[in-house]
Amino acid sequence: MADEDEPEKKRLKIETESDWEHTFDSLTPQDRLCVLSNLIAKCSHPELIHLHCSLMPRLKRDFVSHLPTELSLRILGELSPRDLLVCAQVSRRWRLLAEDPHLWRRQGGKRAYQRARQVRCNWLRGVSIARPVNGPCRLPGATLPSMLTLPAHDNHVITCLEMWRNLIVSASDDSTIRLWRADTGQLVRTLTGHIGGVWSTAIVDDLLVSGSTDRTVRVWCMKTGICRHTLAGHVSTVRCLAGRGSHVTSGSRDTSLRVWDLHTGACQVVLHGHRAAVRAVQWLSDSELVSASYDSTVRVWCIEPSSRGPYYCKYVLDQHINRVYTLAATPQYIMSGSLDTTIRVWRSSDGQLIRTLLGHQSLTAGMLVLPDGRLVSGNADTTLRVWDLSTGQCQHVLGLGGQDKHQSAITSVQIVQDFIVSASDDGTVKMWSATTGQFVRDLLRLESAGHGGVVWRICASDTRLVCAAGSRNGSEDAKLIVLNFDPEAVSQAPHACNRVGCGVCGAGGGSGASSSGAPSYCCCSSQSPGVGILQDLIGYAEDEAADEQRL
Amino acid sequence: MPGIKLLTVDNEIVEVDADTAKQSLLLRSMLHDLGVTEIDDDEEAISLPHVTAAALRKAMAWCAHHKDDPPPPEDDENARDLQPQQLSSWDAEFLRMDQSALFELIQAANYLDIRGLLDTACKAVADAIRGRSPEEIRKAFNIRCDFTPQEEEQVRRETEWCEEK
Repeated sequence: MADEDEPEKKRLKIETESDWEHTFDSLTPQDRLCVLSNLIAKCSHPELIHLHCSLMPRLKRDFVSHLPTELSLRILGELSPRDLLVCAQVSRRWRLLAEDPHLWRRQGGKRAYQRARQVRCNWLRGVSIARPVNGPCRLPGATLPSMLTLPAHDNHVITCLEMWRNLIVSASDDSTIRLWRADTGQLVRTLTGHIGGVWSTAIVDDLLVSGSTDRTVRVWCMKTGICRHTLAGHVSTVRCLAGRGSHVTSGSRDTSLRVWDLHTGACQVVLHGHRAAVRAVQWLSDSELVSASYDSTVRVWCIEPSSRGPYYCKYVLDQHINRVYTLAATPQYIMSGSLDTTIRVWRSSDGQLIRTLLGHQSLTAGMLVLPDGRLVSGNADTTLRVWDLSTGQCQHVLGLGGQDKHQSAITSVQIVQDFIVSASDDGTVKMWSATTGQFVRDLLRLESAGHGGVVWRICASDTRLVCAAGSRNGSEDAKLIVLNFDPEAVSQAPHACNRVGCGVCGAGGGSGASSSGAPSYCCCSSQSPGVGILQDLIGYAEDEAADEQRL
Repeated sequence: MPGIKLLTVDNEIVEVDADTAKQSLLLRSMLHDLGVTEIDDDEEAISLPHVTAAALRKAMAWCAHHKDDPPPPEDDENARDLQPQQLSSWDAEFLRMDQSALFELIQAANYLDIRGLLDTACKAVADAIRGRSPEEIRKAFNIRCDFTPQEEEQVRRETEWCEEK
């Protein structure tokens, strides 16, 4: 009997429901609302939850799929590229809309955006030689090796590193300068002429300027490799250079600075005043220079002829109590790093000392100003610090403790987007977030790291990192290591120069050297602030002794 | 205040203030063409075949609140800044409604050509999308994922590197 009962009951239930539905259908809209309200009033809590759960999705609307296309695109137009990529994963319709070229115009197209993101991700977690790699290393789909190792300068110390278009420039105490293709690693030419170690370089337009222990400054055409001028006048090692417009200024161990016309080779002015070697120089404007010296002072010079003569020393910033090695400048401030462990911040307009940045334990090897105006300092005490110049506060200490810290002195610092990249005497190159101060990862770890391997100097562009590495004890041969973070980088268009003897100059677009316009914002790479400090403490002493004898 | 009568798609007659209604470029040109200036019992209501009464009331309430706003700038791609502009707290509160109602409101704003409201409402939808994962978006708008497993895998691969962590 039970078998017959069951279907009967169900049918009854259905009939009842149909009755209800029928009655409900026949009601006026107002009555329907009234009935629903009464029903809800009768519902138990679980029933209400059931109602709620079945109603919520039905009240939702897929705006993007169901609105007219122009409105959907208007909504998506409010979103960031990152959000658009997420939207493309929602459904077919969403994908079609989220890939609309109009939405990507601002980024120069979706491809360009994706490529930029890819490069960024490669910096974050792509190519590195934190672990030894055997054989050529390529990223998937890459047309170029993502890593090159170039034996360089016959095991002499690599003192300076520059990037210009598709060229890498390395200088050494072997007295040569070498130009390499950045994409393939091919040695394009070796510039010979100096008869002493090269200790400073600067790029001004398509000219390379070099300073040597042979007391001369040489001006080279990078396209042809021809030495245009040999500038004589200094009576000791030329230790720092800075270019601006058609001029270059040189600072020397002979305590003077000279300003040269790059086209005629004429020495336009000799700046006397420092009482010890000049270690760093930078342009503040077309007519103003700042220099740092082992006499513990920083001087600001005006080289505009006036009633006071062809030049005058505007300010002597003299609160440091030991040698000053490094400089950085913004339109507002001049920063100087000294062996007295402090960094001092001076107001450019009147030379007043406005802050003393305390915290580092040793010599500041390199300083750079972040795009947001904060200062990054790399120090021989193994740490880097990020400073807010408006308050003088130290915001972050990079590598204060933990296993990710540098184990030895910082030799060189670079900024890439919102990352800080640091090289160290410990044989590693590390990457940090400039925003949070957090360690990101090791970009390079020499096999000899910890056993004498040293990264002397690094130079970075948005898509490349060049490291000059070697060792103090022969455990690592001197070499350049090039990491390429752009998998799509193709060698630049064949250069248009048809002149015989013109090397591969990587001609094509680009405004040329980053240091040529003397972006007053960065601690000019031409000063080789990093490498020299170690050498000063290690190998350079020999040069000095030899130099001293010559004097 | 002079008023006008509007007949909505759900057959309701809604009386609205003429000045407020003129923020709708559609109504403004209709009123201009018809020469309607004040309420007249004999006047036939203007028929709005695409707008529900609820959406119309909402739209008019927005217009009433914003009637003294300066006119929105011409839509200029370049002028649109990269940083999304925050909705005012009044607008955010005003747009706090279920999605069906917001959907109708956007359609009404579009049909009636009320640029400020359309812009604000689109921003509100974008706010609901921003920062979410694909699955969260599907859930938020009750969307069925219609990718084949292969397609889904391909899309995921194409975009996975965009996540930094």
